[in-house]
Amino acid sequence: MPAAVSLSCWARGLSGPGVGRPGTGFPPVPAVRKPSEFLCLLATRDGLRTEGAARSSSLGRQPEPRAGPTGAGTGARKNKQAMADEALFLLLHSEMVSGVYKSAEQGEVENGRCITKLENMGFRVGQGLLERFTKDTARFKDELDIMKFICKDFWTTVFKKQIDNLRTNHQGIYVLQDNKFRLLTQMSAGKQYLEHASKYLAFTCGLIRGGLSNLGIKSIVTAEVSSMPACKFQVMIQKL
Amino acid sequence: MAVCVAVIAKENYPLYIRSVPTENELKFHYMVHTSLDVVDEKISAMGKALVDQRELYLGLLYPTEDYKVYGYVTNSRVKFVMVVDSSNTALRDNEIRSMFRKLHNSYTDVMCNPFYNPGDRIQSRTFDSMVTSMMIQVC
Repeated sequence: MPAAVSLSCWARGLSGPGVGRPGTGFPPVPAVRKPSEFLCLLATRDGLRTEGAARSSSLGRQPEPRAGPTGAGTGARKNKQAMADEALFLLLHSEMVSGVYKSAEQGEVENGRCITKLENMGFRVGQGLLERFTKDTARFKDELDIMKFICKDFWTTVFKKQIDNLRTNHQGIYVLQDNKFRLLTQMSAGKQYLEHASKYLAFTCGLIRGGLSNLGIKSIVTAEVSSMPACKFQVMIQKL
Repeated sequence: MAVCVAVIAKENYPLYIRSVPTENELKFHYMVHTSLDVVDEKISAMGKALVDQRELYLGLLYPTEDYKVYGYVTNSRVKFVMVVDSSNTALRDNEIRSMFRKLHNSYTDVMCNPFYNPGDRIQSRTFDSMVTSMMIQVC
């Protein structure tokens, strides 16, 4: 449920005041900020402070509609909104990836830097999301409890499905397998675009790492793909 | 209601602390600092408790002669400590609980603000005014 809230919040931030003027009959005015730019705002640390002070009020404290995306009892309108939210997230994500890579092309930096950048964005977003998602849950019992939460609740709210398989060696390594990972479904199944898969997984790796770090677990998250819509995330927990 | 409200980070340094200006500020800082040990104790005891007892609200941490100290710990191990005047007997456990909920909601909003760096001091004006509203209700 909270994913819809935060995502629609992003969406509103994106659309700005120009969009959806009722009655004018004009098509929506394009947003001032590009989506990629906007997500960068979520993640970048410095340089936006002065502007941030002015904008933060409109971003952080929007009145939040409690529109639930799931559940049998929700009305058609809510379902529509959930679908729109989902599409927005997918579009925003792919635009963000291409945005980061485009900006890197101009500065001539290598592939790894872009992955790191995307991962760091995910980290910050994951921290925020986990804070919101765990607001009403009971305290977690142990590490496994937290991982289960990530696989079930977190994954459902962000990607609309649960992790298909969670495996662990009980020594700090967890493997999360998703047979139909949402961010890869738009690409052709199989091995054709295998080399590009990593950049579409970096954000999610960061999301998991950020979420875990917010719950007090330091970890390293890597992703691997062997055949397209399926992928595995390996979480290595750093013991103190 | 509250005479002092504090938000303490995972690593036990203060993110936000505010007390009523009429009294000695240092006294409250000391009180909050002392309470952190009790919070730690309660959390470690709670790990073994049953599912329905694993609540975020910790209840009364300890009473002193003039004040009562209440605690709350989020899942991200951020601690909220509230000092309440003990002469105010009308204040029930439930009300304290709902005050903590409000504080938590506000804190979540701060966390989700993209211009806030996790771990920094909280300087949000909305958060500040929310705390003020909790402190004014007192008198």
